[in-house]
Amino acid sequence: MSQNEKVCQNSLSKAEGDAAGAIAATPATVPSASGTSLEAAPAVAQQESTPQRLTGPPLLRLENVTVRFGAQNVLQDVSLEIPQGQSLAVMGESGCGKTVFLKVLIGLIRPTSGRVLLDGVDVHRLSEAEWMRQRLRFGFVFQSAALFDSMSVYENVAFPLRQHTDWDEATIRHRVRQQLAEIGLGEEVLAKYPAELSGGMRKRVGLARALMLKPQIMLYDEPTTGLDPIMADVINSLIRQTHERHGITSVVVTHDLNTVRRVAQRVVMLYPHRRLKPGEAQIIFDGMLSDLDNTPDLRVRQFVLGQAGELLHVRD
Amino acid sequence: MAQAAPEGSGTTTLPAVPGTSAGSPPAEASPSFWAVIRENTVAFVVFWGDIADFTARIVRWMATRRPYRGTLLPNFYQIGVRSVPVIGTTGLFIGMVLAVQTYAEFTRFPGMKSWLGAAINASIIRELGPVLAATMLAGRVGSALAAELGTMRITEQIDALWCLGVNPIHYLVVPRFLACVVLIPLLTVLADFMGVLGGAAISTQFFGIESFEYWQVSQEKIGIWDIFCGLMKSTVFGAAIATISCHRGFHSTGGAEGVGRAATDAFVLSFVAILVLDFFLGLFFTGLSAILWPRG
Repeated sequence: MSQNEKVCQNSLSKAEGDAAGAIAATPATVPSASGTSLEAAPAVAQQESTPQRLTGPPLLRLENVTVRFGAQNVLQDVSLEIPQGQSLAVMGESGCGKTVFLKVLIGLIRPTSGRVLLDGVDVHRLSEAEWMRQRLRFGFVFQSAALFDSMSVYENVAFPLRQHTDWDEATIRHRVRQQLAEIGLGEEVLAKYPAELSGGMRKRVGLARALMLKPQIMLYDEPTTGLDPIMADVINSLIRQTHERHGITSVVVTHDLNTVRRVAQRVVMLYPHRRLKPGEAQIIFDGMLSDLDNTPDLRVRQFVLGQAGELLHVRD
Repeated sequence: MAQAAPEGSGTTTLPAVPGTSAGSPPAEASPSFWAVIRENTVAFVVFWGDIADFTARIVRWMATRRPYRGTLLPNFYQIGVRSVPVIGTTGLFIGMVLAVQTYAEFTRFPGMKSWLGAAINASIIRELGPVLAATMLAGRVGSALAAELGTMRITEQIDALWCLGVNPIHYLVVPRFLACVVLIPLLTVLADFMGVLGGAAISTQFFGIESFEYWQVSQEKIGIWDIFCGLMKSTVFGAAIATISCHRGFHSTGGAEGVGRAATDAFVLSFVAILVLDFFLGLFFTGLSAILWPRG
């Protein structure tokens, strides 16, 4: 058995253990076969009733992370701790650096300065092979789903298992069906290609693929962008369900307030660096979901209310 | 400046410099001649340094880990089998054209007609076969490789590979590189064969040169060394086409326009690289030949 496969199996068994705990603590809601979740919108109070998740040891930590493209700062001195098991929403207007933030977390973009620590280890000091192994702890759902367009849905979802396990085809097929059922997709999609799927189905297949190796950390990049409200609600339910059933640490980047309210325990708001006052931190809000409506910061209130108006402070 | 992760996994394109709003472009003083020279020199060195780094990564992955099952065969089919018609046709007509062009010159001097086969076949095997096969493949395969990888880049499929713990160089580039390096020499053999056949057909059947004489002189003047040099050249050309094309695709930015630019760059750069390499390899093999078989 290769080292990768061992890591994968460890990861799988660990995630299964976590999931068992999470399922015992929280009743699971399984989507219907049609893919529409029948679960009612979760109450905010329920999210606040699990404060222990917000104070655990930091799984991910950003220390003074700056990302600069040419002469433009996209992220400037961003510091943040993400405890294990937390569901964090990172919101902000378009162009404020949300996606860059997410890609820095998984190492797709290397910060100009600062450190990204995973379990206390600076990921950019890891060897390439070790970082590849650590990446198996992450699942990433792309804004465009990023399915491999030359592969069918089945091949896309089976891809991580084929790369990192030596399971036989029957086991892989069983696992793929199980995972697709969990996100409300039936066998009729198995043979389809990404071009034949709707946006919502692509997102769900992307989610299924990301979950195949039972990651500890899920990163979602604008998961509901471009979807109708019903499908957006389905995706939000799946994100929430994934977090609760498997105890996965979630980081959801979005500018959709509905998504924030549905999936987040903690909310962070990034503000475009070019509009900040001198010396001001780029994270202008970091708090519980319930604090979002009571914040005194006009810029956060403006974003929450969705009003451009006179509150806008444009320096450039 | 933010650096992309190893092997260029960062996808964010460079945004406009602040202060350059769409409505009021700032007035910029035109840079001096030396500044332009310096910038271009730096860009040239950086570009070819990046290509060298990319090549080193390909070689390292080839040396350390076998390619994934199921990725080799489709690439071998795409690059090799589907190139057979175009390479065969090109080779055939090159041989025929050479016969037509050289026949008029060779018949001006008595006794030179018998040398026609040697001239045609030597030209094809030493130069035209490898160079033309590589050029055709740069157009057919190089552009396709760059466009395919470029599309995967801009649709974040390459990033998705990283996130799934799969190295895209190993998964995407190594099989394509191997297919080019292994199959371009074989396609060159096909081009040589068809070219020799075409030249012989026109010379013997159309111009009436005696067949035995045609092949006899050819056999005397062309040896295994010529064939070996041609095949070695085509192996190097194959490596250059694969590396440049995959590099261009891998680093494409800017949506559909960027993919188109990557495909064009892949062909143009590959073509230039083929000609430059052909010159230096020609020098190298000539020098090596002089060392191995010094003329008394």
